[in-house]
Amino acid sequence: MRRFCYALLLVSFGAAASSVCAQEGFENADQNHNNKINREEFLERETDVFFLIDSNKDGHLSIVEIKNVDVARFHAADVNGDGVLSMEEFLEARNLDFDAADTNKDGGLTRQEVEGFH
Amino acid sequence: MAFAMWWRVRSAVGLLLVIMMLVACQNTQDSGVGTKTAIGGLGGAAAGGLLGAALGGGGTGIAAGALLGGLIGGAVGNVLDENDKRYANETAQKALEKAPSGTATSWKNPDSGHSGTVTPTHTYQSSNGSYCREYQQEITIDGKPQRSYGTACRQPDGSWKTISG
Repeated sequence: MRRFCYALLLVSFGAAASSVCAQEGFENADQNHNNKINREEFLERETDVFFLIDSNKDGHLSIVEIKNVDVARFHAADVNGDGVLSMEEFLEARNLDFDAADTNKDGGLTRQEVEGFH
Repeated sequence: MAFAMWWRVRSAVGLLLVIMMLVACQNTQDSGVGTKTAIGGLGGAAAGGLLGAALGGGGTGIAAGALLGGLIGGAVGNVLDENDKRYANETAQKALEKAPSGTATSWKNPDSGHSGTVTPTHTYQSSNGSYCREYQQEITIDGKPQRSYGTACRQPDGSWKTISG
C-alpha cells in the first residue's frame, strides 16, 4: 500500500493520491480501530511523524525537513527561536492542530475531520 | 421637529456604538491571543498532512557493517541459522529505521523455511535526545509463531541496538 502511495504521489494524481495515502495514515493512527483518532493516538502518530521526517536524525526538525509548512507557522511553533523544532515544540503545535481539526469538539478525529483540515 | 431631531441623534449614537463594538471585536482578534489562535499549529499541509500520510518505507538505509547483534536472542536464537539471523537483523534494522509504529516488516529465509516480522510499537526520545523504539518481533519456526518484545535505541552510526528484550 505504501509503495502504491509513493507511486501515486510520484506521478502526481493529486487529490486521489493524497486521499489514498491519508487513508493509510488514518488507519495507522487509529490503533483501537474505532474509526476515530483520540488525542493520545494522534500524539503517538505525530511522535512517529517527527521521527520519520527527521531525515538527518539529529532530534530536531528544520523548516526544510517539514514539507509544505508555512514559514509564519513554523516560526510561531519555534517557541525558543532556535530555528528548529524540538519534539516538544512539534507536538505542542500538532496539539493545536488537533483542536482545530476536531470541529465538533468531541475529542476524536473522524476521517472527514482529518481530510477536511487545511 | 424636536422628535425628529431626537430620533436622528439616537440613531447616530446607536450606529456609533455598533461601530465601536465592531472595532473592539476586531482589536481583540488582532491581539496576541487572537493571532496565536489563528496561526496555532503547523497546518494541515505540513509534514505530509495532518497524520503524515505515506511516511516510512523505502530502502533499507542500512550501512554495511552497521548491524549490531542483540535483536535476536534466547531459545529462538539458538534454532535460527546464520542466514535466518542475518535476515532477521536486517529486517529489524530496516523496520526500526523506516517503518511507522504498527506496521510490520517481514522476512523469510527460503532455505530454512523460517520467517518473521518486526513491528515498531512506540517511538520516543531518550534523555540524551537519541531515538528509541519499542518493538514486537514474531519468528515462525516450523509453523509455530513465537512472539517477543524489546526496546532498541538508535546509535550515532545509524544502527539500532537492543537495550531490553
